[in-house]
Amino acid sequence: MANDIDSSAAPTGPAPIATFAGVTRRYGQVTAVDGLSLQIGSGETVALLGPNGAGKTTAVELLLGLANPDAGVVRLFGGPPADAVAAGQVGAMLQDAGLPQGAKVAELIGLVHSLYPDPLSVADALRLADLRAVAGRRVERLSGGQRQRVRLALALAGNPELLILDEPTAALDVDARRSFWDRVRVYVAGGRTVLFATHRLEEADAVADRVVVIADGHLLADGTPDQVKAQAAGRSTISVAADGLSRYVLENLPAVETVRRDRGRVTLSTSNPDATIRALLQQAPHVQGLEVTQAGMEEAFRHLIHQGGTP
Amino acid sequence: MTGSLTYLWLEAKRQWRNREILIFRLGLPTAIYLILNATNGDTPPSSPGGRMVAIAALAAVISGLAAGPSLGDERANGWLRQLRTTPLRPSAAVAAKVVVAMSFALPAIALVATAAGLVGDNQGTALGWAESSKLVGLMWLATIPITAVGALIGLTFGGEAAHGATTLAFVVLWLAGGIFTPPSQMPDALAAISRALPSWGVVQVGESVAAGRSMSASALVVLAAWTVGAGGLAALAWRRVLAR
Repeated sequence: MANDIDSSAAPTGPAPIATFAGVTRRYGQVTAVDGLSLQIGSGETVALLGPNGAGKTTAVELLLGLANPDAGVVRLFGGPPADAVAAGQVGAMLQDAGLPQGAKVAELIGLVHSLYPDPLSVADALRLADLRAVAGRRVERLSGGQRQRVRLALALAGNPELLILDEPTAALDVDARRSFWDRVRVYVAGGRTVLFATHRLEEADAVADRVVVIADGHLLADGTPDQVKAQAAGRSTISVAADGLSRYVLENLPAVETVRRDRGRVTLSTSNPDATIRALLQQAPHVQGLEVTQAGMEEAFRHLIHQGGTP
Repeated sequence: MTGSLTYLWLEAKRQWRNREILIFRLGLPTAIYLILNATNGDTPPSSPGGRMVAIAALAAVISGLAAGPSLGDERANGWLRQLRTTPLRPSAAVAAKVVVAMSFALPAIALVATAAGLVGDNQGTALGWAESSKLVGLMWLATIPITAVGALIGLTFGGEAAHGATTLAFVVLWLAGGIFTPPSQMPDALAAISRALPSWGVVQVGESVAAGRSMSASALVVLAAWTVGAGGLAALAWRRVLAR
């Protein structure tokens, strides 16, 4: 018997906090999450990045036990998600979750405080979410940004080991968004694990230390923000006056991927702008109005999805 | 457990500080009673205290069904899902709705009985303090199956549909359920339906106390059947909500 125990494989590293193993979830004809495998370790700040309809919300719901997988296994803190939720190990901010009318901000936070085993004090949660000024206000009298911060406060007031945020800044303007993430950063500075879903690449880049890209329920890329960006690095668009340039010549320049004509100009997208420009100047030395633009984050992201999305 | 109580307390405060809810659930039945009493004073009584009992049953129906739209709204706007990401036992959210609905039903019934005592129900009853308390308490307990119907509606329909279903249930219980017209004045087929509805059971409980009769067994059977039936179906609907 003792041998059996000794020979059982010891884990090689810290156990992952969250695991998706071959998880599929369908809604009618739509496969929202398709064979997703993923592990999230302790202390990571992970962005789940993808366009609308990519399966981000379904992945979050699976992780919280709000939806059950049709195939595969979801584990949270080594067990079924519902157990981790019941044990108070998770705090979540769902997309567009309403607040009960007539309740006051401090009352709602007090509720969460009473539900978790090792919560923040109500005062700390109010301070973290910048809600002290409206603590006694009813939720229906709050601004959109304030409501969003209440929902953040509800997610973190329980002081959970894992914080899950689904599109938390979707309804916020630029300033409110920045202040929101400042609040989250203060919270995670204590070594908490955070998973947030977003469709904004710049948000994933600015906040996360790991980016998981999904589209159509598939995992497309997984790495540091720099690694994910590198998959689309060096991508540029070149724009020139269209006069006298034949489409055939343009399409056959090295590294060119697409050619678009619009109002007297031609725009090329290229994976190697240096090579494309050299060849272009050789073949059309009199070309005018040359402009080169580094591909933005959004473009890099679209490229990734394009590569992975269509087989 | 303390979490469930905290949630119950929050839910109670939230609803009790809502002026529209107070007017609709507490003020309206009493106002209807006073108006009917003032305008129909000469109508012969169908049973002693019949008007007071009928309007107290109306109060029970209004408060009892209120769990329906409230649950439906919170399912639709995502608050119930938000709660399910916390350690709160999921059923505590439903239980709180039922308990708070009952917390309105008691004063709503008591206010009608008090109004009847103050203005003197001119259908010929003058209940003593003890009988009045007994009437209010027993009619309040008889409200339990109606809150079960409210919970069933809220867990079966979301959002707007829950409001519609509640209105429908209200109209059926009010018009056909022995409140607006006693079954004895209905065609036979309708009377049979009426005597199977929970509001009729509530009226029967009230009338038996007002008349000093013993409780009718068929009313108790109807109330028990609705409690078990609607409560069981609500539990099934709740499991379906959870197993999404």
